[in-house]
Amino acid sequence: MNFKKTVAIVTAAGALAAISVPAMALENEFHGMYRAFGYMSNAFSGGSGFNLAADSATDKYVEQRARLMYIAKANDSLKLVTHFELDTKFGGSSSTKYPIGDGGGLDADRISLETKNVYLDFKIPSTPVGAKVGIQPFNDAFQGTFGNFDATGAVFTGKFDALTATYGYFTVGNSNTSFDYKATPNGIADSGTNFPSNSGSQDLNVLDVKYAISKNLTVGTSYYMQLDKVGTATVAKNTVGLNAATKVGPVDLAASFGLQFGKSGVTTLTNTGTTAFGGSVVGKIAAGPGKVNVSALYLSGDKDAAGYNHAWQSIGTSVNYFNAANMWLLVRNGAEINTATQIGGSSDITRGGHGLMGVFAGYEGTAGKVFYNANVGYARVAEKQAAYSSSIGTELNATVGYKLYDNMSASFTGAYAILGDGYGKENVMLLNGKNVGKSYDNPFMTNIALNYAF
Amino acid sequence: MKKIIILLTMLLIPFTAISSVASQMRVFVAGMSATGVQNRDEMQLTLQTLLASRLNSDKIIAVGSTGEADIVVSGTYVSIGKIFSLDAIAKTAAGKIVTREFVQGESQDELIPAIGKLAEKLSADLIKLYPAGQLAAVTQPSLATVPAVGAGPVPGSDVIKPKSQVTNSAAAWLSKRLAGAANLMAVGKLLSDGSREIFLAGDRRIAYYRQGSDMKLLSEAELGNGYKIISLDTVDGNNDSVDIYVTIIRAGELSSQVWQIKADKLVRVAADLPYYFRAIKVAGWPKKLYAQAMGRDVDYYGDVAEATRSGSVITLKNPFKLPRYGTIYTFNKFHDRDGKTFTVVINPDGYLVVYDEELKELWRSNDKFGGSELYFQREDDANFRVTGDKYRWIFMNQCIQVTSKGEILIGKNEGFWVLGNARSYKRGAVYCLLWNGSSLDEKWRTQETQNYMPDYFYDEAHNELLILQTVQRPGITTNGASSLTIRKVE
Repeated sequence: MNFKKTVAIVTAAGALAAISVPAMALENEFHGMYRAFGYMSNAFSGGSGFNLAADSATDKYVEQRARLMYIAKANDSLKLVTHFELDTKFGGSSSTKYPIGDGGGLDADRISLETKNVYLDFKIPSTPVGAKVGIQPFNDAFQGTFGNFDATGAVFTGKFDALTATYGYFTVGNSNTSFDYKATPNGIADSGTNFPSNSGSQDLNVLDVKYAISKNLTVGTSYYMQLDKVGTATVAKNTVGLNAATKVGPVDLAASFGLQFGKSGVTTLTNTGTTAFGGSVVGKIAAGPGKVNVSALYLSGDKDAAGYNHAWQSIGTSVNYFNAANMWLLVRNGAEINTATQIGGSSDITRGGHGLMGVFAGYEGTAGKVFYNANVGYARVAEKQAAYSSSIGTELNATVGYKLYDNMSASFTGAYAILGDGYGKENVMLLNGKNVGKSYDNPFMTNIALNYAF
Repeated sequence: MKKIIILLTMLLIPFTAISSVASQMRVFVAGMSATGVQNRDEMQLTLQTLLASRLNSDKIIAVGSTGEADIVVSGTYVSIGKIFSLDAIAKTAAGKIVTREFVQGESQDELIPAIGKLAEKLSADLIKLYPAGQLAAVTQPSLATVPAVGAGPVPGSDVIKPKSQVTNSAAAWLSKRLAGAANLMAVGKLLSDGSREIFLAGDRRIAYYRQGSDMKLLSEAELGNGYKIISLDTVDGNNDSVDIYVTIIRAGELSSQVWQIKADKLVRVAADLPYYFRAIKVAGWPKKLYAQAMGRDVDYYGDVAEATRSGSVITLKNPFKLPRYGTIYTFNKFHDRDGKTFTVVINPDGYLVVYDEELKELWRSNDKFGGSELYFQREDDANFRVTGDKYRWIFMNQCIQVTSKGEILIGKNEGFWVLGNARSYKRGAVYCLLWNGSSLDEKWRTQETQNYMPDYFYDEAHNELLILQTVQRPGITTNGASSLTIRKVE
């Protein structure tokens, strides 16, 4: 048989095989969002910091975020989820994320496409278990105070009537990771900001179990184990917790409590150890054309940065949230995008190991296509350490918006914080460790937002 | 030669039969309204079936639609205490009354014999009036006699059957433009004058119409800000009233209401009910009210159960499990010829999935069905960071109806812009499918509407499809508009 004949036979066989393979009905599913904020503030400046100063200047800037999600769905038991993000500051900005600029400058000719999620989501045949493998989102059972993040891992979720059990394993970082994941590890030095160059890694195991006792009551328990490894040595930091969600009359309540213990330290494993706790209660009460939101949060702090660390520790300083607060200045808002920050200068909700106590209340409602909310909150750190006062301050904020379409809205928000003595007092040591000799101005923030999600 | 004679004889037999059919008077029993009884819908259908079969004789043939009929019979059944009266009126297809008859009885035991007597009387009158049989001059479909307001009869075929089986045309009835974009429709009582109660619901508005020669708005009610209607259903209530179950989401939680018509006005009789409601004929028979709860972490919690109401108290009984994707709004059941029960569910991707009695998947469609722009939202803090949306969107879907013959009806919307949570459908149609033992075969489908079809209802008693269309979407300055089309299914 000559070569031509062989090629012809192989080609024909290939074509036949291609015809014989049943067509896979691939579903293409798209989601995404676009959000733009036009800020005017004496605290936000489009960077990662939160400006506190006497006679602080007002800054104005616009930033936007777009997210595109494409899901390739082979069937309802198998899909590939991909999710990308594009952040831009109007006029352009260079940052750690975008060293050569973000495409916001003249001619927009830069690369600013980020990976958000890439994972396979499938149901294990003949079982009630679903699996997700890859870079995927995870949210804790503590209202985001431990971690609400994207990470590489494998998560298995089984539904057994009223019981739902989830086990997940994530590799959070390893020796090749350049991401500064613990630049300020809650006030307790880990003797470095990055993993050592030759060894060291951190893994996270999560186990969440939820049981729906009735339509109005769900209870759950969690166990998260962080494993810090250097060479062949490993230490574990554990977070155990309980949570519940219930509805009593018109009141929806969700509560969680967590206890942390064990050791950590991805560089030296010399951290003395942790005993910390945190808890939150979130209530929503239907009233009039909307609902009343109330919430309270306590995260323990460390008193003296010596001995055991008593500060509640999230898995990373930039991945903790408490969206139920509905604040913009005291606690970063869940809607914030590229440069989300809060009083204290970072997105670390524990303020570098001081811990946090806060009470928050507000009302949100609608009137036709108009939506609105107004909130008030007070926050202080749990342990002031050497500062003059533990008080962070009191915030008042309000938003009014209009739904131009079902999934697109425009809104205006104003927020103002009356600084507590922990930041605002003259001639004393402040919570962020400074003694500036004069009182800081109260911070304010206004923004005009366009929001589109599909 | 003998073979040719036999062949010709065989060929002539069908013509003889056709000739015999042609000499019969074609009568359609359009509907029997029932007053003073429970399970009114069930009773109406029963009376209609009984009368039609008893009218059937060598001189009269009962046909399945007004489009085929020479004479249209309608009637009422009134029960006061133990005494009942059956009254019937026969009209030509042009609407001219040709005879009236009635029969009384003193107990329910006499009902079936009474229907027989009524049929005898009507037959005698009709045969006497029209001894020649068929009324050739009056064969227009009765729907055409209903003056359409705003538009005339729609030309062309109403029902497209698969393959080449396209049926003859029967005119459709079109309503005038109805103010407000309605998402939902429910049908109430059939009144003695032949008109029917129709309820429409928008996001926060409930409207009560009477559909006769036109759609007359009798009453409307608007819910407060923060409320969203996601389902509208009717069931027979006490005291000859119709209960209108309005499933409502308020602040992400169920806060459903029940309304009734009192003196032609919508009156709320119960509120803050923590259930999703739906009134359907499961497996085709009979229409019952069903309820399902909402959970803390899940949008649909637990089993679906039959529901009864006493004041503001809902009692659940006979709960049953549903297969994967089965919720109160996405399921129905049907029987096959052997009496086996199957569950059919429309999954979130729009495919119909059929399950056996053990809830094991048997078949799923290759075509997509359903599609609705109606949704409700619940706070979704766990995914807020990922989706950028504080709320998750839970879309409703087209109702799956099952007829007493086991036919499965499902609406289907299509559009060029269906992307994630942004949905904008352009046209819709209703499909009728039938289980052939291994899969669902398409039996017929309607022509596509020129607009998004938010809801439909198949009135089996009258063999009519009520199709709701959004002729103008609500915008910043308008509440939009709807129209109702009623098509005969032949």
